[in-house]
Amino acid sequence: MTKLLSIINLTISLEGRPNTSPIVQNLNLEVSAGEVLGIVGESGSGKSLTGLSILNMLPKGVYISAGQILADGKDITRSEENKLRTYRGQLFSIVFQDPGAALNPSRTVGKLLSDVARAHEKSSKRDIRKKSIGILKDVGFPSPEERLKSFPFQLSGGLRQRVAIAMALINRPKILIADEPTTSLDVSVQKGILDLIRKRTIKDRIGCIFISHDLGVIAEVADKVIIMYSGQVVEQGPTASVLTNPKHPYTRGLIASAPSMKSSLAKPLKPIPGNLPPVGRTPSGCAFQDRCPEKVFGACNAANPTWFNDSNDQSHRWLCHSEVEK
Amino acid sequence: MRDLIRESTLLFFSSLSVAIICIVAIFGPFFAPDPLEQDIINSLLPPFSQGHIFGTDPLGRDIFSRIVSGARVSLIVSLLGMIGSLTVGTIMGLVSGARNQWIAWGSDRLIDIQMAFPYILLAIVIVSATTASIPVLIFLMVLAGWASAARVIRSIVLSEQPKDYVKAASLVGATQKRILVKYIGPTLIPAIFTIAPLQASAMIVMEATLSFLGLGVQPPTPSWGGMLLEGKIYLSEAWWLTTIPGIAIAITCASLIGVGEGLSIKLRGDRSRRIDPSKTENSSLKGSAKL
Amino acid sequence: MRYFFSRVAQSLVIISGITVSVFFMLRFTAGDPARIRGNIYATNEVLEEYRRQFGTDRTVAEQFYSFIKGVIRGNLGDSFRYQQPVTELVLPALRNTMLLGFMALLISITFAIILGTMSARNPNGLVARASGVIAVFGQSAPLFWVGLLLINIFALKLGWLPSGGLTDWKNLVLPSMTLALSILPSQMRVLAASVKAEMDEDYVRTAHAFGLSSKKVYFIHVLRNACLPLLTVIGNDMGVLLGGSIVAEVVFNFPGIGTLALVGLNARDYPLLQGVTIVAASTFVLINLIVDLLYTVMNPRVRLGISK
Repeated sequence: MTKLLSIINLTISLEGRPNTSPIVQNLNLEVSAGEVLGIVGESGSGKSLTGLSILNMLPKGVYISAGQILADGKDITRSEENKLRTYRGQLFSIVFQDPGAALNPSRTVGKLLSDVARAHEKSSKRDIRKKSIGILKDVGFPSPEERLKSFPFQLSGGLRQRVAIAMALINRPKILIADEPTTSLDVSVQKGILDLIRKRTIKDRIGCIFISHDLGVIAEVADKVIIMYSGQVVEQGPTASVLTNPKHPYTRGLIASAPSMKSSLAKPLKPIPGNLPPVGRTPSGCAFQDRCPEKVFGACNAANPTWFNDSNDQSHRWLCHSEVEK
Repeated sequence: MRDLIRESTLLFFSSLSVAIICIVAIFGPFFAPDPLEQDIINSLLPPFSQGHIFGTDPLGRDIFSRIVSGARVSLIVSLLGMIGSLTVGTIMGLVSGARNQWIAWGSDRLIDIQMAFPYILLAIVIVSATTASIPVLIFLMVLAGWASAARVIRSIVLSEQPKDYVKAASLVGATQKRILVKYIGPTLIPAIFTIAPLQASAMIVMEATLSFLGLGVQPPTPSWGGMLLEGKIYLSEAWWLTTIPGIAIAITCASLIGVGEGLSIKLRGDRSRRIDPSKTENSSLKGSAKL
Repeated sequence: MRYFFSRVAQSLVIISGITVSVFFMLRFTAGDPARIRGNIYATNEVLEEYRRQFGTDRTVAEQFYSFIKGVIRGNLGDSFRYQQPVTELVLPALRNTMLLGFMALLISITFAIILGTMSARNPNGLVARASGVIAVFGQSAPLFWVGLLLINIFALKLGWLPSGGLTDWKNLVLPSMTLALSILPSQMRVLAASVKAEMDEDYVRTAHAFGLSSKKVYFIHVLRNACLPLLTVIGNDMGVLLGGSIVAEVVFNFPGIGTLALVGLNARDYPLLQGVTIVAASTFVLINLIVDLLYTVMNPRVRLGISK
């Protein structure tokens, strides 16, 4: 399986604040062609920043302070803006959370697609039109020929997101970042979008990173998953393994606190007490210590946690201390 | 702390400027020579001539005293115009907030029409139907200015109406008029103070313009606009006849606008919340971090 | 479509209203035009002759009736002073004024877009601050003073441009620049604000994410959407321009509607004044109508919302 995306020891920090801890620390991940990697975490855990860093579109005041991002073999952390611009849309693409805001309300669907198609190379109007209709069909958009003239405000949320996905895929990128693409959609529409993303990932041999806070969604769409807490990866592995056999106390807490149709209605939800540490002020030792039910005083706050592997599945690993009972 | 000084500097200096102008206007005529006294022998003297610091006009009248007396006339007329305009504007703005659909709609339409229509044209017609005099002038100015005040008042009224304290008042049985006047009224006061200087500035320009066209203050009463009209013919020979009143108008207007801007910065600054530095980081994680 | 017709009808109603009110206002409040036309020594017979000429010997209702008949046929009566049909005087003047206004608008929009764009992109830069100063100046300095100042500098001291009249294109430069300065501040402010607002929008970020060049992003996404609020301001500016051109025409001795109106006023030439007012106001209403409809066409939400 070809490794399409490798992120090595990525650290994202705030500009001009040398005494604060980084927002994302030592992140490592890999995505191969045809597979979906899910990133799970609460808001503020740094998952969205990770996605944006691949595009090198971090907001002002936030920058990559260490690490490397290799996309299709190219080191994009060191690339110049001109090169990066050619990569955006062609090598990697992104789908954002709110399709209503991501689509320019005064441009038609056809124009939106042609804008993206023509961003990198010139083609004739006819070719672009054919391409647009083709990609709309690929994303399951009904009667694309007539709808090319529609405006975003005439479409439902699900259709808008399909258009956004079409815009992301029209230049056939190798890497797709999906940042909470279904969060603002109805549950009934969500499944369609998730199926679509999975289908296209497999068919087009794309490496997809799917960011979400919703475990149920991740369970549906991701092949492997990383769990982020306060800017660090705390557990990672194949989705099935991680979700059925969670090892890190945070993962366990997440699963226990997630409502699902399958859980018994008699059992109350168990939320994780406390809050994320404030940005830039991660405690020394384990980031999760203040909320961890299995905390061992003397170990968890004294030393940095280390990696442990699941005996059954080498790719399933998590951060902890040996003193903590597994 | 630095922000506080920056906020107040504009207000301070502008108010100072306005105060100086008012003092000159009120007390000036006592010290300056008679603006109406003609002295043909000494006509068209340039500035810094003997005894005439700003020079003299074609009839030998001292420019400086004409400026000072003109200040009086212009300022009083503009003040009255501003008061009238604010009064009418506030009333109409409140009316626009009425619950009765038709009244509100009617008032809105009136505001729109008035805002769009060029007042000079209207002024020409009205003056031709009556005469050019100061009461007519003030009437015209009120007619031209009330709508922009009304618009601001209206937007405040409309934004206050859905608030809970208004709903509570109407539940207790307060009539619409009472709600508008006693409850929403007080919130309008800061806004009125902010618009007032801007309106006054616009009134000064309006008065000058109308007098310049011969529709406002009539000679021989000195007014800045009138002086510009008289001076226009001598543009090539006596630049000071037009430049000096023009500078006076510009400084007065700029000061008034400064007071208005300064007030609005001050009043806005008090109401905005202090920004917590540790929280700003989180807010810079824009976009996808929305949850 | 329905909106279109209702707006047109609305405009016609307004124009009629203006026509009627101007007619009555002048008729009832003004003095006897015959007396004004004739001098102090005129005898009664001469006055009656004038009255017959002007039609003021008939009842108001009859006068109104013949007036309306005339208007429909395009006849606005004859000027007292010039002894010419009013239409002959008004139309060329209107053409000149509109030319002036159009030039002013062109200059102003161009500068508003350029300066507003540069200010929005670099709020603390030199251009932004300079634009701010120009804006305050344009707002506080009365139009006629700016005009006089420009004449002073460019016509008298430097001798580059003529100071008045209308003999060739050079005459248009100073007056249109003066007028442009009066509407520039509000346009610049609105454009800078809406450009800034647009640049924060998500779809701009999306466009960047797909690799569109900054230039493309700006012109296609940001500027296009930012122009819509500008159009509303321009609609408002029409009124300002009309009023302003009256003043500018006086300053620059420009033969337009404004000077004609003042001549009519000072000469108590009621047919002329009436004609000028009606034509000017109607033009104004029509232009507003066009701007309104243009806005509807350009804003897809409104356009499609209506036709549904």
